[in-house]
Amino acid sequence: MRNREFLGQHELMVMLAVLRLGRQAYGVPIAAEIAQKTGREMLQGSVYAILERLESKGLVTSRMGEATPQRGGRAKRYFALTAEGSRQVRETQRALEALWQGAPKTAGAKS
Amino acid sequence: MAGCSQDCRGEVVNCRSAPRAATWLLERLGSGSRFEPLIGDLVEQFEAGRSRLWYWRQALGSLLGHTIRALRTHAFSFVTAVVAGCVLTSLWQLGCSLVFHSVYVNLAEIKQHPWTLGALLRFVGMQANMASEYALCFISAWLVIRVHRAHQRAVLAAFVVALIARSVPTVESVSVVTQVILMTLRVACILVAGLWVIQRRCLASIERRTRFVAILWSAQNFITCLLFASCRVGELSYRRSEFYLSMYAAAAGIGLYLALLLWRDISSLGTTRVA
Repeated sequence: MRNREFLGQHELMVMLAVLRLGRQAYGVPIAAEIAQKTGREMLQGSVYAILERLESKGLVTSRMGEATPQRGGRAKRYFALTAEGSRQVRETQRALEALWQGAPKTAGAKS
Repeated sequence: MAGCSQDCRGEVVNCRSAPRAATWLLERLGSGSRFEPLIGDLVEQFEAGRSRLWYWRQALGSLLGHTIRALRTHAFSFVTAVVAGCVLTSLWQLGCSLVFHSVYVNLAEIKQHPWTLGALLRFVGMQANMASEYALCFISAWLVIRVHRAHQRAVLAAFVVALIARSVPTVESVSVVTQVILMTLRVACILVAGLWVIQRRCLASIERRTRFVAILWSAQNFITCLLFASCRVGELSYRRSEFYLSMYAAAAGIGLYLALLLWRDISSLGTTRVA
């Protein structure tokens, strides 16, 4: 097996949110998507820190969008997964599903 | 949109503004343009009804995270910069205490012989000591920023915190109020000098406002010197209230300058108007 670096939990959550949002993926909806689906509110700054880390790894790309008055005249920064990013998400999904298969139900888990 | 009022045509014309100080902190202490989309996101959510407390929590949390990440990724140069700044400050102060020690010994002599060459030289020495203090603030801030260029504002903040922490044990030895005032002045000095160096990138162009503050500050020092000299020459008792008044004037000058900077930087944010 070749040596791989799997995505961390937060990285995976952010990448999945970007994947779900498509072309509308910028800071606010990404954080909102994560909060809505997982019930965990991330700091906006942490979302950007993760996205910048992913960008430096070549897993996401970003482009500057339009500035609006609602944002105090500041531009949005849109993110999108790269081909390598999409591949790593699928790979992580496969790995997690393989691990889940045949795993006994944990104590206290709802049936 | 929460917090907004509507005019007769039903258009939103006046929205509450996001906490200016928090935005200013993000702009100043964050890593420049990289923080712009983040600030935009926070403003957008604030306009959508988030509370001021939420805004502050996001801003401070983001800055803290940014500083910690900067520390982790550039730990060596970060620590080197802070240590270099502290060592320079200590050596400088030690040198000054040795050089200028004789100036402050037996000040009563000046009262008895105010117009002698020795007394005048001692006045000059006092002024040189004060000037060296300001030079120290400037040079130490410059050194710290030069050593760690990756996150200049973060390392400047860390240096200031280190200086404050270092001075805490000495608070007991002299009057607490005096120590606090001196430390506040030094910290403000370093912050102003450091932010100015970061903003200007070099010493070539000095903006008009900074020139004005420098002149004001020099004038304040001159008045302090004059006050001190008149007390000695006129054989008046040197009162503490005058000393504190002078110190407060200096602190107020720096505070005014920071307020002006703050006002200029955030006035563009102002009240958001949405047509």
